[in-house]
Amino acid sequence: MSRANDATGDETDVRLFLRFRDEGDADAFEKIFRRHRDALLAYLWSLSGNQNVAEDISQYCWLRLVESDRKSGYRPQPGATLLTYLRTLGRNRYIDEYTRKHGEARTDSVDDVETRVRSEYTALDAAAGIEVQLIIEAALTELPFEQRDVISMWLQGFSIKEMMGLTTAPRDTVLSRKKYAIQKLKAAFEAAGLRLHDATL
Amino acid sequence: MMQHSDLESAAEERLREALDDAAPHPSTTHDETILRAARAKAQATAQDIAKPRRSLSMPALGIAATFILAIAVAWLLRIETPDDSYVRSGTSANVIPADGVRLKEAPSRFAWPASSEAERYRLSVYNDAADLLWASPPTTESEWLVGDELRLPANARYFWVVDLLDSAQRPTIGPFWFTLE
Repeated sequence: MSRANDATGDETDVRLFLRFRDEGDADAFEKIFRRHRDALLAYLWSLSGNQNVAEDISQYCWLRLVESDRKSGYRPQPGATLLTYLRTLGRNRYIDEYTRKHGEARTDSVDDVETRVRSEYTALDAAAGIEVQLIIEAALTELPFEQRDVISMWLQGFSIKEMMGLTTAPRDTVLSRKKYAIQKLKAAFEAAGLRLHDATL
Repeated sequence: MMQHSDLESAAEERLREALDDAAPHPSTTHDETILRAARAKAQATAQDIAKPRRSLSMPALGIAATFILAIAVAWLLRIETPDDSYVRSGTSANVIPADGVRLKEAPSRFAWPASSEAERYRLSVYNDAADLLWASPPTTESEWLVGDELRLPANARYFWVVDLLDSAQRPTIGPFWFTLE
């Protein structure tokens, strides 16, 4: 997963954002959007295990960025990229709106998940990769939020130190959450008969 | 022969790839909603900028013109006598003031690596809240010697960027931060 470099290369996120905010340059915003859209959505998807929820939160984050003005919203900070801001906003939104309000995680067994997925979607969908996505979504939502939280950061290439900062959990706890989450995901993949490249996990 | 830890990390990598591959693509509605809102906001901002300001009286315009002329003359005099005591950087990564530096006095000079992509540059300085404090006119030099045009209060953090003008991609160097103690 690539990370935006704010110091060199193409026009930086900060500059593009300021051109949008201060000069009304819509193209500048679109450049930022195209640059980070997929990474943010992938992060929110692995965090929530649900495409609709991920899109809702992604939309919320981008609209918050659009509404930023000189008094509120996004402000460039040293050492923190715009993508970091969007991810943090999305993670907070997910915790506030979905984890605390709607509470409990789904408790389907792996067999239930497989049966549900296979009964709801056709072979055509499977060919398009939708079935695989749903199996993975189901496996993700089976994880406790704390483990899914760590896994979603791991997928985005966060360091253990960064995960510790965001979760406020000690190093051993973060490593433990990651380890158990990976074990459960592997098991879910095997149970669903999914093969990863040339070998099962 | 592969060690257990190698096998484990290879398996983790395959899992990561599988999850990456399965990540959904955004719907058209998602993109349209966001871009429509951005275009509306941009249009409102552009209209706000284009609003006519209160006209100045002729005496006020005369004073302003004299002031600008005086600054321009002072600036030209400074550019013609550059301070050779500065060490020119040989590496492209170096900028002055260095990124993240803490300064006791406001910088007297900004310098950045020359770029083959642009013939002119524009330096912009912002405060911590990303309010534009000052922007230079286009310059062909890869440095700016600061005169009276930029006064920065102490105990604050600032960042600066350099636009590479005349470049199709409009790339930027920066932002680079400094703190004034």
